[in-house]
Amino acid sequence: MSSAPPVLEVRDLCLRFHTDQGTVEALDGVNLRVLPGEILGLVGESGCGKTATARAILGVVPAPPGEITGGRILFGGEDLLRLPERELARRIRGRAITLIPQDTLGALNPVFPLRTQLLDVLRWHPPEGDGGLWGLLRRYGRRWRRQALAQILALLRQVQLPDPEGALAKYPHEFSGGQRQRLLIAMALLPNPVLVIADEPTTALDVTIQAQILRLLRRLVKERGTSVLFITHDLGVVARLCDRVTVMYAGQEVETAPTAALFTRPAHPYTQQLLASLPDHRKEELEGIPGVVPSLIDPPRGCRFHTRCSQARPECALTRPPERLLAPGHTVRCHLY
Amino acid sequence: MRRLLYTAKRLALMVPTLFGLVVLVFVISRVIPADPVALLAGERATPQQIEALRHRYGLDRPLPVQLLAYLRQLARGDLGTSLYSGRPITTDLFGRFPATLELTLAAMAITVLLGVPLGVLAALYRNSWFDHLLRAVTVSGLAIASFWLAIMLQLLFSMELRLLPLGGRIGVPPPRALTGLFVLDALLTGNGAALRSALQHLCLPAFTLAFPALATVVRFTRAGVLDVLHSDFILYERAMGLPRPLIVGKYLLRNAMAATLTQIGLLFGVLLAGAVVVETVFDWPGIGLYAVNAIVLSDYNAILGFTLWSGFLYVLVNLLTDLGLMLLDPREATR
Amino acid sequence: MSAFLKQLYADRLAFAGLLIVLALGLSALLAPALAPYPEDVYDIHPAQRLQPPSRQHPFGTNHMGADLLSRVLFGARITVVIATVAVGSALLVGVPIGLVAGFYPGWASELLMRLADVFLSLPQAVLAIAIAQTLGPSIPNVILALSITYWPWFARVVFAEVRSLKNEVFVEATQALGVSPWRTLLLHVLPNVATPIIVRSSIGMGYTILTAAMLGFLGLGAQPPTPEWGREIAEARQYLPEAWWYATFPGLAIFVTVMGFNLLGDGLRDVLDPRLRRGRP
Repeated sequence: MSSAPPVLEVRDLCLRFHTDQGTVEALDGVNLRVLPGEILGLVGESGCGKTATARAILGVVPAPPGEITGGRILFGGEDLLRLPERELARRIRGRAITLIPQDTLGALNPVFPLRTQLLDVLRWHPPEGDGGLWGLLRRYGRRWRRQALAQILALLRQVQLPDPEGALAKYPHEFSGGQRQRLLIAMALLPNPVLVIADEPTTALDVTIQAQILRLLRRLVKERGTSVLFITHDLGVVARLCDRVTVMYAGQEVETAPTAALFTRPAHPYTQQLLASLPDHRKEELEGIPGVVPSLIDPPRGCRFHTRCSQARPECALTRPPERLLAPGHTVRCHLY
Repeated sequence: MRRLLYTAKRLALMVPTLFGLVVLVFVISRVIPADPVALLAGERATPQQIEALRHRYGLDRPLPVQLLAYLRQLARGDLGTSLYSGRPITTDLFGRFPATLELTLAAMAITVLLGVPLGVLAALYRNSWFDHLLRAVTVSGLAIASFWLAIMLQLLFSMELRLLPLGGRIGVPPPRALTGLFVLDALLTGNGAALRSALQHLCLPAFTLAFPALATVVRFTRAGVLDVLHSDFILYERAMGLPRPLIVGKYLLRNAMAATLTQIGLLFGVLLAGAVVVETVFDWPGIGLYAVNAIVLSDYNAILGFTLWSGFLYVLVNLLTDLGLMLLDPREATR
Repeated sequence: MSAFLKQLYADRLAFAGLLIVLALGLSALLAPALAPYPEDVYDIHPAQRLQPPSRQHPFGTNHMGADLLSRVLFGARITVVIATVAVGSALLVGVPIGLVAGFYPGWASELLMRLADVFLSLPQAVLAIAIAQTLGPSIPNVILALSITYWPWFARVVFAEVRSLKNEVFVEATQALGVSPWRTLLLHVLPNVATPIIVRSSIGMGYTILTAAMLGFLGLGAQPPTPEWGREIAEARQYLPEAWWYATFPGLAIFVTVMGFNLLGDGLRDVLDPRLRRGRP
């Protein structure tokens, strides 16, 4: 597709969780690339490692029990896995990469008015550069606050939050789910980031509001040229929103393609079954793939899908298939190709 | 507006509780004892004297009438007369209350200023040697009899080491009374000698009183912080790159404090009851010591007055805690 | 049952608590056999008054010349009786009230729980003092005062549990099957609220022992020469600082005993109900 270098490149990311029941091999060599200005959908059933991937990129995997055992996360020429926590917090998280979380009520601190949380995000990650300790002190001053509030209000208007001035003094529980989602989008865009990670942001909303918010998100990020890694289990959302899609299954990515190509020419058996499980276009939830998702404590070797795959061959249980290029921008990891 | 409504609701809920409290004390005083008048009159009273007293206090009338009379008396702010001092009990209690207040506030300050940071640290470094040590201390705090702790502290610090006074409230002429709290009065009047003496006298009783409460606050703060530590919003705040000291000191603490604050309200009752024994051991001239003297002298009205007064304070403090909780956590008001 | 004991054993502190409680029970039961000088509890030996701890008197002697170890052991008896009877009767009053009030909502239940709230609107120790004072100083009266102050805790805990259990599927199922409400209550609901009752009881024992000792210390409980621990400490005060052992050992006995019940209560809570947090009361 584009020849520009990717904004974010995840290579062979491996992540384990040590639990009482055993070691969960949550991510087993995940690869994905987000190109400048694009919206990449990351699709898969729940528990397949989408959210774990997002947390690994942000460097907020709880450790213990989590442990990143291999791979690289390249962002702006740096490997985020090698950056110290301080640097991550100062330059990357909430500044170059921001998050739109899934649970809108749970993610907002319940005991502070909105203003506090928005101001703190901007205060610690001003788009103009932080200016050291002196800069921070200045940002506790009244003048900075006035400017910052103006900036915040402008953004709240852009996300079409009703009564933005009044909203600043309200607490999270006083908004509707859709309003909170708009707020969280505004919060994610506030530091003017390079990449936004959206973790199933519209799952809890009803369909009409979901469509409005997705349209709004797409317009805002396209205007700014911000890249988005959009995590979802909902293929309908993918079709409407994303430029490209990466499909994940049980901690591995199986196929990456431009959205249109994925829907018209799905290559991996898992992708095919995913699409086949959508009987008509009104029904958008994933369901009806035979078999069960394997336990990740003792995962199948080779291609993890082989236990449920009708076309599995002997080698599928032995080695993980390499990446094959089917068409420009369309790659698949399957021994059939 | 919503807050105002909530406040009004909580105030209204106080009324039946207080009424129940009065009835309870009434039952304790008039129904439980076989012959309350004999209690009132003392052991050496003649049958004629008892009969006269019975009539004078209206104890020969039916119980509901007595309850009504009692309520009417309380509504006038009259808790009766002390059989020993002969003064109205309200006068006695008010005169001695500042001493108890000073002691309780000092204990509360120790509890909160020490207990909250320790609880936060224990949660942040859970299962470290510090956490285990603190757990041992808190478990002891809840198992120790405060009168015994008081005596042991006296034995060590006052009798053996001679560092701190054995008892009493002050060793020099008290500062000019403004608030009745010696430490505060000494500060306000710039009386250095009184301040020094008052603080020295306050040390051991306040610590004794605070120790069990401290244990509870540490435990609850630790549990509260652990609860919040794994919440989505802390994860989100971290994902948004807010620095850890800010997250812990501002966003996390405010949430964890909600659980602790509820406990602090309940602890006030523990402190109030603890004041009875602590004041006894340290000869602290507050309402607790008053109650114990009343026990010794069988000054029955005074004990009931003290009981009612304690209950009233306790209800009041719990109301204030609820209102504080509402300010801390705006969701409270909608519950 | 053995899995339960194994789990309790794994929590070393809880197991220590269990051992302490067992030791208390044993010393209460066998006080006459264990005590070096059982007759000393009431005898007077002016010649050996206020002796420091020695081989003959490991805890020293008191102002009457009685062996303190013997008195502390006999004190365990009194403590066990007070705490067991007080918590037991609080349980017998509080649990049925909580069960019935939680199972049959209505004005009567509402009234009962309001009554429990009134009892809880006074600091517990203050209420105990007022009742004990009204009743007059004696051990049965201390027990009565303690049970009157403690039953609302049982009622509250059971009430809350039963109310949430009522909506559980199995309770609704038994009702749909036409099982009589009393049968449901006793055979299906009660076993399910056993955990909080057991935990509450263990913690209540610790609390009751502390409060009983306080009442004794204030002179509202046992009268001398009964070897009650709180009373003993009150007596010992006049002989400080010389006879430090006199006040120290009965206090240590209280401390260790209450610690035992608290550790056991915490451990039971963790083993029986991992959902509950390590917070109190």
